[in-house]
Amino acid sequence: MESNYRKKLIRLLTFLGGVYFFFEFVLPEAALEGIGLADRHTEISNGFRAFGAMAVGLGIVNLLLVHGSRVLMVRKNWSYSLILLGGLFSMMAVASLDWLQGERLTKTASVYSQLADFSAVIVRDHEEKKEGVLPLKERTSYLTTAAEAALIKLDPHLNTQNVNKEDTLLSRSYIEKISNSRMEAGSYITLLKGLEEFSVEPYDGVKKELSTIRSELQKLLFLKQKNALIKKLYEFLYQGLFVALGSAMFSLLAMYIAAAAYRAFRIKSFESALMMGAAVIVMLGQIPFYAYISSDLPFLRAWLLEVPNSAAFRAIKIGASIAGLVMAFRMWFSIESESFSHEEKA
Amino acid sequence: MISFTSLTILAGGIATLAIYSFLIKENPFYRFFEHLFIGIAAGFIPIYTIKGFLWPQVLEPMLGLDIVTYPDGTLSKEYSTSYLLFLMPMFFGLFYYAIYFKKIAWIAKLAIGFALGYSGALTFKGFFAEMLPQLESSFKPLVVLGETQAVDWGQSASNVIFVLTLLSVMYYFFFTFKRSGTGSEAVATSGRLLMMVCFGAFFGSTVMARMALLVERMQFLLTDWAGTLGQIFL
Amino acid sequence: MLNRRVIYFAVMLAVGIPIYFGYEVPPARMQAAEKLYDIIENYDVKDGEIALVALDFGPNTKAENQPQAEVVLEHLLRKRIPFALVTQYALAEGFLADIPETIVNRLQQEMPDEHWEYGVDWVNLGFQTGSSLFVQSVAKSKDLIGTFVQDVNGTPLGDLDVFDGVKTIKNMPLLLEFTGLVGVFDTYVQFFQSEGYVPIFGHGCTSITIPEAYIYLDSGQLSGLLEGIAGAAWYSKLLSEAYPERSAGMEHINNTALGVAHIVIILFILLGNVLAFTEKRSSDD
Repeated sequence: MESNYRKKLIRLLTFLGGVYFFFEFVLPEAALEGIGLADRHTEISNGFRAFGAMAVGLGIVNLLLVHGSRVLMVRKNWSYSLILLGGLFSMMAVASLDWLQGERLTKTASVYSQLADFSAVIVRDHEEKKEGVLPLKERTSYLTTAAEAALIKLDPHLNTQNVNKEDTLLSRSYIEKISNSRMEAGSYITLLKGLEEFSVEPYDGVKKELSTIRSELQKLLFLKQKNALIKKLYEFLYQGLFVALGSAMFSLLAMYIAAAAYRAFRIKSFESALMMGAAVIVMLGQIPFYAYISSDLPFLRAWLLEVPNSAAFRAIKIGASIAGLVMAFRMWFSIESESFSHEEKA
Repeated sequence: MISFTSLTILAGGIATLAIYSFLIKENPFYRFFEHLFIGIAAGFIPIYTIKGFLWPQVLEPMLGLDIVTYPDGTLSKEYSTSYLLFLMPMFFGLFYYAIYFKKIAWIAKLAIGFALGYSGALTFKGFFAEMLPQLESSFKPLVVLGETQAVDWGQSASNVIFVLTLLSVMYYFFFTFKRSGTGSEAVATSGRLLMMVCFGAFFGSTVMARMALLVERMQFLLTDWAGTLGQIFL
Repeated sequence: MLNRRVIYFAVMLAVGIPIYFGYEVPPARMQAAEKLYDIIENYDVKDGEIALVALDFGPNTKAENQPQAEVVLEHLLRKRIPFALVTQYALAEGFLADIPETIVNRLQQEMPDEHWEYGVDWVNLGFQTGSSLFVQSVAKSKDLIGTFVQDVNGTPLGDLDVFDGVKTIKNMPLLLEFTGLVGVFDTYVQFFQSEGYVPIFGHGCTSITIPEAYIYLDSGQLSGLLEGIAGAAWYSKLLSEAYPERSAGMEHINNTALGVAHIVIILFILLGNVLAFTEKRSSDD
């Protein structure tokens, strides 16, 4: 009884999972707009993505269960499991720290864009005669005080310390732009302080210069971050180990395919001869030495890929896609997943 | 003193050679790096999922951390409680983890079923968007006229071969009715033969792909790695 | 029969010798790559437009996808077509940061008076989870800045010039996707379109997916295609012809080494068949 109820619930949720995207597909755009779904599509999609993203920890949990237990119980090959977990945690730690460091730098720079936005908001609110906000003069005073303080805080960053030798010129150009914008921003702030009658120009000036400072400062800070220990550790793990190991691991297949081609590719029938012929044309038609054999090889290769290959592959693709569509229906209506929705017997 | 960049390249070379040592026979040096690779690869995904999506597009707005307080105390935007709705799919997503608890393991099937449901529904849309242009372009004219209204024999022959190949390969996979007669067998056989041409192209391509990987590694070993070794020791 | 280790060694030598000696032969003409080159070369970018470049590859297909991405991104930078980099493959994130920087450094050396800047000429949107959910949400978005929110460094996209005027998929007239992962490529074919609008789609595939990619080229769903290293080498040649000051990367040497390796493989297949044939004959006798 209880198991039947669970089965029904699983089927119901499987069906509900597909309802939104099915109707989003079959209903016309106007109908979706009419019921307000078109404007909410990004949020709804993000909801589904958030649901899927929660599964991201499954892999880690599995690794911890399999390899963690092997290390704790000191079972066979425990040392390799320890290495695996070491790699896992080092990468997680370094990637997290690298991210947090980047976020911190962005936050340092974004202070200036926030003040630039504030300047624009003051103008907008004044022009729209917005109620419930402080008078223009008072808000301007807040802006100038905060902007002056922020400009002073630029000092510790305006140097080429921690910058790679090859990036020195670039960093100097950023510093120069920041210094120029700081000076310009300073003059606009002075203008704002003495402003008797409202004028958009100094507010726009402050906005423009502070935005420039944000963008240039961020570039400068990221240039300096290249030399930070975390960044280097990240590069070491990513480029030095991960990329090298991944590429090498997959390139082993080159050796195996060479050995397999030698040992197993036998021309025993007309079919295997056809296959061999096509393979040789495809290979020779795109290598630089084709000219030593026949200058028509690239065209022959292109024809072979465009005509018989495309036609045969398309036939296979049409068949597979229709099968996929049928499977999707069966999955959605839980016809395919009889064993899945059944309760496992103990 | 060896720079960090050189150290990274050196490590890359050692890692590559460790993997290649497997070609002689399996050994502890290879297994060490193999396990390290799996560990590092698995470490990326959760962090980047949080960094690229969960934090900026879900958690930050949900916690109101994307709202700026201006110097006069006003806010850059109002907090939207609708972001709290994200808690529902996130909580539901946690059902996946029930799989680790025997008594409530069936709950994980709710989450898996839901994922199957929306993947299935997306397949409908994807199928039509992908396959309609494919079907459309399969209807090729069997007689192609050139610019001067004369028959373009080359293109016409190609189109005839294309259509015949497509139909015969589809027929080869048509299992709904039993094939009978020499004619239908001949069509199916020609379908199989034409598929061999396709598989030949596929084999040739596979060889190229695998060799390309080796070329990249050899290039790294012979230029970057050997160069760095030379700088350090010579 | 030859020992398998002899075969391994022969293949390594076949690949290693051309690389060591820097031996290069002009690449074979790749028409599908030429189509993509022509599209980008003749594309007249308007204000408020940005190309979406998906680098969905990791170390497993880096050998082929990276040179392709390099030549195409270089072309975009030369033509001043702004682009946004994105990936559905978490392990590709490092490439998104490194590749454009390397190209820009090379371009700056070639043209010291010209400047390319992050945030103005390109932006890195990083890893995006969700596969087809992500692609269809971008395609249907009415506010792309709100969809992506920020770049990989956490900078709000509204603060970056490169996203000025970019609102919907219609502001992304070029889609360039580099991958060896068939499932990932499919998501763009299936979902990166809105009602009545499909952007120009260029694809860089690994050799293994060439036969499948051709069916999309035939149907017009793909406008151009870079096939493995050979595609990148031909594209690089076209760039060098158009920009004579340009210094090419390793594409041509790698392509030559690949060619030697192919010849060695074909010779091994022939040798294997000849040996098997003679063995069979002697056993029959």
